[in-house]
Amino acid sequence: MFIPAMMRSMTGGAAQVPASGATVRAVIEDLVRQHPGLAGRVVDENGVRPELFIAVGSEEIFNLDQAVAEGAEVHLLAAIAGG
Amino acid sequence: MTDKPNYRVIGTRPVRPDGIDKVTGRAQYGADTRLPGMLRGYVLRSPHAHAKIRGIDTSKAEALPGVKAVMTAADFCAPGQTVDQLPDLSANLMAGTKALYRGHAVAAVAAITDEIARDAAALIEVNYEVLPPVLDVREAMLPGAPILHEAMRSRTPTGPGENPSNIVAHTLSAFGDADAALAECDVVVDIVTSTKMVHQGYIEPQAATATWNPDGQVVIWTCTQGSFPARQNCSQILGHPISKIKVIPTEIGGGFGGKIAVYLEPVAAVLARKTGKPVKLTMDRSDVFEGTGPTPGTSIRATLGATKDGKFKALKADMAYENGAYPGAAATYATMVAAACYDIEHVKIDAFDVVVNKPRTQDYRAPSSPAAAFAIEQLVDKAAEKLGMDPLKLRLANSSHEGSRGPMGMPFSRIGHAECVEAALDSPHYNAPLEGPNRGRGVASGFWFNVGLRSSVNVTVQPDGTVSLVEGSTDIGGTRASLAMQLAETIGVEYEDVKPAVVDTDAVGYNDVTAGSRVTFASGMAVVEAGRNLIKEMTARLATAWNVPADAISFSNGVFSTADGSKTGTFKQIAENVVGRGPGLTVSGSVNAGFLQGGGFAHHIVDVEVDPDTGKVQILRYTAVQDVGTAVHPSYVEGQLQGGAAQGIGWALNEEYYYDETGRMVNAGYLDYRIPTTLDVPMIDTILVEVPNPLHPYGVRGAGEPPIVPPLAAIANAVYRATGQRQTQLPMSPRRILETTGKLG
Amino acid sequence: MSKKHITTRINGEDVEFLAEPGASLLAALRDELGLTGSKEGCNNGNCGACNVVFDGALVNACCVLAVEANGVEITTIEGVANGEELHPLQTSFLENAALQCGICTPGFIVAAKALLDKEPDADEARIRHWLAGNLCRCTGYDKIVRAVLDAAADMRRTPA
Repeated sequence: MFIPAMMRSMTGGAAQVPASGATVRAVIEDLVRQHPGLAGRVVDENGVRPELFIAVGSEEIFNLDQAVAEGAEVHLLAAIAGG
Repeated sequence: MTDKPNYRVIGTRPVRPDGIDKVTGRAQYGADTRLPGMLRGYVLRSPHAHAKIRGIDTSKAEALPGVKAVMTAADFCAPGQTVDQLPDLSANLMAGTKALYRGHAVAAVAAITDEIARDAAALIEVNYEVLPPVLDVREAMLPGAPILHEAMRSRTPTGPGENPSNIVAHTLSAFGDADAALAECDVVVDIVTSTKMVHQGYIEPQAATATWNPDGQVVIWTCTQGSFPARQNCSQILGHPISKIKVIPTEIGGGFGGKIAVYLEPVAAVLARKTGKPVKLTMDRSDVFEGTGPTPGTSIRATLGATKDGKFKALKADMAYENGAYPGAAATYATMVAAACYDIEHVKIDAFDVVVNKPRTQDYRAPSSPAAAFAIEQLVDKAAEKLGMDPLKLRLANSSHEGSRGPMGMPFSRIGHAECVEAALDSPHYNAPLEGPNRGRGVASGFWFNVGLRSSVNVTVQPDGTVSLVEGSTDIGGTRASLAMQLAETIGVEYEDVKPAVVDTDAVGYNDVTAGSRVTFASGMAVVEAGRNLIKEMTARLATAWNVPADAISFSNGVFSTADGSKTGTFKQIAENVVGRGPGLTVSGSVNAGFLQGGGFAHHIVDVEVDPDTGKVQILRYTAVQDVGTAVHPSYVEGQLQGGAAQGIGWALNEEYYYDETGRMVNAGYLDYRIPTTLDVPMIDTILVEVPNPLHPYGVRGAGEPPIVPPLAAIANAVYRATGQRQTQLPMSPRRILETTGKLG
Repeated sequence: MSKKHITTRINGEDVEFLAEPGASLLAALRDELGLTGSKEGCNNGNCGACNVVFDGALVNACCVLAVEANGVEITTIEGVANGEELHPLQTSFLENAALQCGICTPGFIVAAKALLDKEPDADEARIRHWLAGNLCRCTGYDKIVRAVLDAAADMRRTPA
């Protein structure tokens, strides 16, 4: 699991942390169990927080119930727009 | 490269649907709104860069004949709220307890004429306690610097800071071990750069007109990059429900990121509420420079290490970006783009977002990327020189590619940086000799994400077999055309049979801003979806008419036909003869295209001549290369590359917010803030590289932002070749050139 | 001060209006006469978005007083097309994609027309020199200069 720079104070500075689960949702739940400071910061009751987006490998995902393969990289990324 | 599909409409160059209105003066822009009984508004702005506001006396202004209302920040307060509790979004529009930059709005007047409103504003008495300003990003970071926000604590990788600070956030972005890797590199180059605040420079100043009915219905006409986000912001600032606000987008005279934020809209709405009449507010050019959001000045230190055979191993940087008067994330953006062109294993970037007593910064075309590239792309040039390698071949050898890790840690999908560098290597420009004294050639690469976000369109079949395309994304550079073309391609009609219109926030589903190089991409996806929905619905109706099962009807190349070919009809025939007899047919297409577009890369080549006596840099020849995925309307894509290059040329050579020590911008007009003219730029050659984007049905990639990224460094590299002097500060004005070449004093 | 009665001729038609003594011609065109095709980009003569032809001379309407229009013949962007027929410059701007946002376009077309009316053989260098008072932030000028060159060639082939 890759943590964006702005949230690393919640993971003790770690940019990459291991987390397990069969779906993206389960992986994030496991991440939050390990780092309770992230509770409500990644997903809330309505889904992914609007300031973030999530990718598995190089693919952005829109469904938290999407399956995650063993060893896959899950990226939490800061939302950005542009001019 | 994959073979390009054989498109019928995409890739052609038709005239844009809104063109005639724009060449005849009929098109209605922000300041052109005229309503019966309309009042004119005027905004009073702080003459001080940093001052406490002890009180505001508006009584004399209110007493002036012809004045209908005066407002201050107190009018933005919810019941029981005080001005010191206003969120930044509101406080930037109207200062509450503190003016944080010269030009910060403090009050506004509505009157029967513009002149009376101005006269009244001069009668408003603001009791200021002037404070020392801090204007330099590095000085603002030092202990003891004047503090803008007493309550602000820095966000750092180890948690919040203890004391008040102007550092909004210290963001650390690290992969691998850059320090250890640098120690082992054969070639190490470093640079320290600084750039000044610059403005988007759109020619149309902000303008907004509002009405507020007794039932609370608000209508706002404005030249915005995003009518839906503008409605959202107005709702937040006014504490008024979204359902009671309609934003009608006028034509927009340029934006480049500067017309995303609202400035005048909520002010016009409050004045309309107070007066019961329509109120129009317009900015003049100095208001635009001093009172809207330019892009940050920066201070960057960077080090690049490579092996002796030219493989980049490590990049380390410290980047400080001004956010202006309120917190932002410009430096955090920079960490996400700075190293994107290259596959580098070890990267460590410390980024500092800092507040200073200057206007709150906003996005400007590929925000944060050009200043970062000014440092990094000069490092690549220095490395090429030390290694004795061609600077393009060095870039090619280290280029990011599909699967290599991007600056946010995730792997890239199919991207075209290497293809751009290869096209540059093969270009007539790069292969033409450059001769003569004081001349030099420079190259540089650039990256921008490009985003998707949300778009919605409606498509209606008209009785004559044409279709109307209703969009919510404001059209700044020809997107009515690029979207109509994608619809024509999808449903198999002529481009001329698609009639696009940009409508208000009540008339179509949600659309994010026209920014992030997203409209032709994401609204294009919505258009394709709507087109497919339309064909599906028409097929269903046709099945009834032809008395065959729907799955027996196929649609291709604009023709519906049964499997046995016994019945056929073109889109237009079916629309007219079958749909035309039934109920009206309107379909929608709505997408959330997400944040990732796969990334856009550009590469520029520039030849300059430096006048050794005056220090003036003349651009002799310029070529912009870019991966554009699929060029829907090649002329408008070329225009994006040319326009972005010209803005970069202005940034490189002339443009800067020039401040005196009191925090007054002394060049707040086009005469002294010189954007490029016809005499400052040559014809700009373009090479459109087309690596289709797998995320878009027609392979489209955003094209608007990447071309402003390379010019700063490309020109600096060219000036170095011409003079032997590295240029580490922008702008490379004649004076700066003479200072670095030792010809001045 | 009281308003002044102004009689002028705009785009071939006689026009009367009342002008504030301090008002600019641009303000009068836009606010009094509803001719909003002339744009305000800077209001101090630097951007050319308000270019009009004033008794044969190209001027920035923001730098001319409205009262100076008395007895003068003025052409604005609204008067460049001949009825339904676009001027070759207007056609050329469309065909060359010489506009993006379009806010500077009226000024460029009026300015270019003023040049080509007097110098039908203007070359790129002359066109660039003449148009240096018109600012465009979108295009980098490449397609604008080409559009003017194309229109000039077209006008030489079929003189008005």
